[in-house]
Amino acid sequence: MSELLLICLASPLAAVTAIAFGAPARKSALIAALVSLIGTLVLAINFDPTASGYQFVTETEPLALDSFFNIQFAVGLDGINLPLVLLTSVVGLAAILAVPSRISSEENQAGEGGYFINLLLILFGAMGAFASLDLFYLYIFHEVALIPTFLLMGYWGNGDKRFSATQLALYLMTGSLILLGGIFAFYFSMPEGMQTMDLREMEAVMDGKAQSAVLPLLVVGFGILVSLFPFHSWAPSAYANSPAPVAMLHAGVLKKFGIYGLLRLAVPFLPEGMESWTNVFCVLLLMNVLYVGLVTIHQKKLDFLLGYSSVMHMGYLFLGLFSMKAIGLSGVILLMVGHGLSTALLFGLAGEIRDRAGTLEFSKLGGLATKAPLLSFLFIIGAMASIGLPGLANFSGEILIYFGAWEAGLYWVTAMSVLGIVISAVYMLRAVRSVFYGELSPESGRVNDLVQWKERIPYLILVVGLILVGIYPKLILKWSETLFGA
Amino acid sequence: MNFMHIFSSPEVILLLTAVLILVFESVLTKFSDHAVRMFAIFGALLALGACFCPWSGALGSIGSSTDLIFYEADGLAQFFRLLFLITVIFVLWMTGDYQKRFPVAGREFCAIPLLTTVGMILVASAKDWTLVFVGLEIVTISFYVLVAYQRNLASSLEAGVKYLIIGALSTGTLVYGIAFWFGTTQSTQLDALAFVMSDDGALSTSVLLSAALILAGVGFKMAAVPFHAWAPDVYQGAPTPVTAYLATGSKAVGVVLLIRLFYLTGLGMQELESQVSLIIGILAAASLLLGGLAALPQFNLKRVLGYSSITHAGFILLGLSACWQGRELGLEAVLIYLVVYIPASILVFWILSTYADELDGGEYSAFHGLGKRSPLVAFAILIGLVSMAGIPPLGGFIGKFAVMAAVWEAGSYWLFFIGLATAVMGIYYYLQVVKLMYWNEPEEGGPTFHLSISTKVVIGLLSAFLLLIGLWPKPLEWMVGWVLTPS
Repeated sequence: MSELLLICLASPLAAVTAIAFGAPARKSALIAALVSLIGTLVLAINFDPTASGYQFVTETEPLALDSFFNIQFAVGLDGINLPLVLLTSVVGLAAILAVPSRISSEENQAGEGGYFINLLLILFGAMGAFASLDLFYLYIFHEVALIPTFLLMGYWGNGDKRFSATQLALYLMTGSLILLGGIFAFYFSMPEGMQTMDLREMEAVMDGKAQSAVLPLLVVGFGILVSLFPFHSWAPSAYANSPAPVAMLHAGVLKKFGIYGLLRLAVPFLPEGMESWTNVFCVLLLMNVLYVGLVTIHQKKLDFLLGYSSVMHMGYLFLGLFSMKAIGLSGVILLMVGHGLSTALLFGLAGEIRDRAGTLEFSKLGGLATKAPLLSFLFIIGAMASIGLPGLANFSGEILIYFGAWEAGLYWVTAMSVLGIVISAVYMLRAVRSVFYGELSPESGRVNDLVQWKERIPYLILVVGLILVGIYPKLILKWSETLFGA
Repeated sequence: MNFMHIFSSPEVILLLTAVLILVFESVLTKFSDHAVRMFAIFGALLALGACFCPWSGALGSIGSSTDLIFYEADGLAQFFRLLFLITVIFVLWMTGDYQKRFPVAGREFCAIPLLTTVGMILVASAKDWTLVFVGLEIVTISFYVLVAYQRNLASSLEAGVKYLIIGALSTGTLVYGIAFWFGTTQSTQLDALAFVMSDDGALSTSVLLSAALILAGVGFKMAAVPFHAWAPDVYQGAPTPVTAYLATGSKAVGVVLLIRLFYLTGLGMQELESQVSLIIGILAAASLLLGGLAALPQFNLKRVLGYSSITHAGFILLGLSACWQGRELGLEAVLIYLVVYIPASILVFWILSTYADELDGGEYSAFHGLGKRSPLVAFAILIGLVSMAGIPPLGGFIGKFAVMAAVWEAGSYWLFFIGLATAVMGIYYYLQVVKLMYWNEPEEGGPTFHLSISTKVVIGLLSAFLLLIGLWPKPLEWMVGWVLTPS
């Protein structure tokens, strides 16, 4: 059973190799994504929520570096990364299925191989980053996705794609390097003899002063990757200008890496550091929710609106982290899954509309609900989830985060971030109204519904996930119950 | 030390190969260029084998007594020997296509790199200033010839003159430094300072002065700021195989000398070490910033590599500056950095040398749509540049990771952040070429890329190395352990 996780991780890489040597691109990618999804589902079913520690741990001894930083290549799952690995494989499958029509068209036969290789590499990086149990490999895997994202965005993207892709590469690399500083600070602040990169061997032994010194580097480093205010400006344009599957994978999955990293490092090992910096970062996360929220209201294009909206929701995740309460942290895990699914759904459908109508400007769209009912229905489910409608995954996550923050005594911050729900309702409902209702515009008239099953499946998968987790959040929460002792 | 010892040492094998090539060139002209080159590569391979040969002089030490050792093959020497020999094999291999392109290149073009390597290996194993100086001069003088080799090209001559003038100047400062060294310690031994210090303890001005002068001389070899002025023009003007050797071998010679001088023989001299570390740290910071900033606006890949080689010198110096007070991490980092930097460098220079015409001497305009015109060539450049930029999972990242970790451990946070800024600049200028190759559409009627078997083999070997070592750094750990274990 424990090798299964390694197989899930290796299957995208195997598909990349196969495509490079001439295997049919789309089929190989689909098989790899399916193998990953089935594998992670089997793992999730066999996961024992009552056991402590990591499960399905696979160590590959020859990869270990004993004298040099004590680096061990090991993969394993616990209540924190199991939901994320599952999210990765679900969104990964949807992203691979949702091929934009330009890429699948006849004249692009040659470009298809490169497209799928890069997409699979992003998937591989995301899977590895969440499954690794070693800081070094966790970091490396996250970076694996950078160059493929850059190449895909600049080649297949829309609008000001080259600028956005360059900005993304420089921004994320800066963030990663600051994070590297944070990792070094973390490593060298541990007492002699206890220094390790292995997550399983780490212990909370750092004194309070060292914790407060290490924490800001980690939060800023990870924060740039998660688009924490004021380091968020790369995200909206990058997501708006990238091809839909890349936005699905990056905004839906890869961006969660920063939150995941903090959940892994800062929460268990730097609690005093978290406490001493709470005020500063609460201001930043409120800016994420309120300032970015207001900026979102102002957007005139659907893709930028979704980009800003995904930045805004990161504020809630940070609130849950800084609450440091079991209930808030469970909420973070739940919201990461819900946000991943809903963002991927929205970006994917927005991509479908752009492919058909040729524009995403609100002034040129309207009345889609009559022309493309299924597409509209799916989009509205995603929009409702994003607002936080009960019954869909995001709601339970957000409510738990608010409970956690209230319990932690962050009354003002909680009260102000609840305003975010109103803000997101305002912009989402306005977007839904101007795109799907009103008079049918000529551009909207070009939009056909999702008629073929191969067009419908990727979004249906995501919607099913959203509803399933929304109705029965315990599905995910039960895995992390023992972890935070709640 | 008998006859057998001498003739089976790598230096002598290389020397004999080079001399034989020169002799045969004048006597027997019927050998093809290809055969001569194969002979040169064979000589280098033989020397590589001799490094492991139990009866060869390669493994012993030479000296008049146990106190006075001129030459010793310890782990570090062995490491650098292998590095130089493997590099020269690739450089000689690279000259094949170059000779087809420029018929002016005679057979001595294969012999001189071998002589350069003799000098490099001597420096790697030398324990005495006289031998170091002889080795360094062999390296420098043979490079004078190689850089100006295309004597009918103005750019090559310009490069030669620049290299000659600055090189001669740096030799001058080096000799001056050695003279001060001798004046202070009464000895030409590299570890002589330790004996003087144990008697006295205080740090005399003349020691610092000599250290500074020697650093200037070595800084020239490594193209570190402020001794870098020659690098961009020489890199662009010199024949590409020579540039490749300058960027790799010449840099490594400076590194081995610095390691021997300040870290292996200077251990325990806290005061000198911390001062020298600070100077090296400042040189590193200047090299990083200047190289990085100057590479940003360039439009020629060879020139970009020239400037970026200054930043790589900066990263290496960064590692060296971090290994004072007996910290070994910095030293390990430098060795790892070299092992991952040199293959990436050779890979890119191989492409630039083999397709000099197709790529218009590295002008950016020639890279448009290369990803479609020749996927394999574009892939090789992608791997080489992304590795040099230090983006995981390629090998280059392991080097940067180790250097940055060493700097952080040593507590030089300002150097860490300068390194960080430079790395981000690197992303920008390396990705510039990647963008052109993959985002732009190819122009109509562009040149076609003929892939020879040796090009495919080289691309396969080097890119596989860079990819695998990034995901599986274990061999680097073994290597470092083997080099730094006292025999």
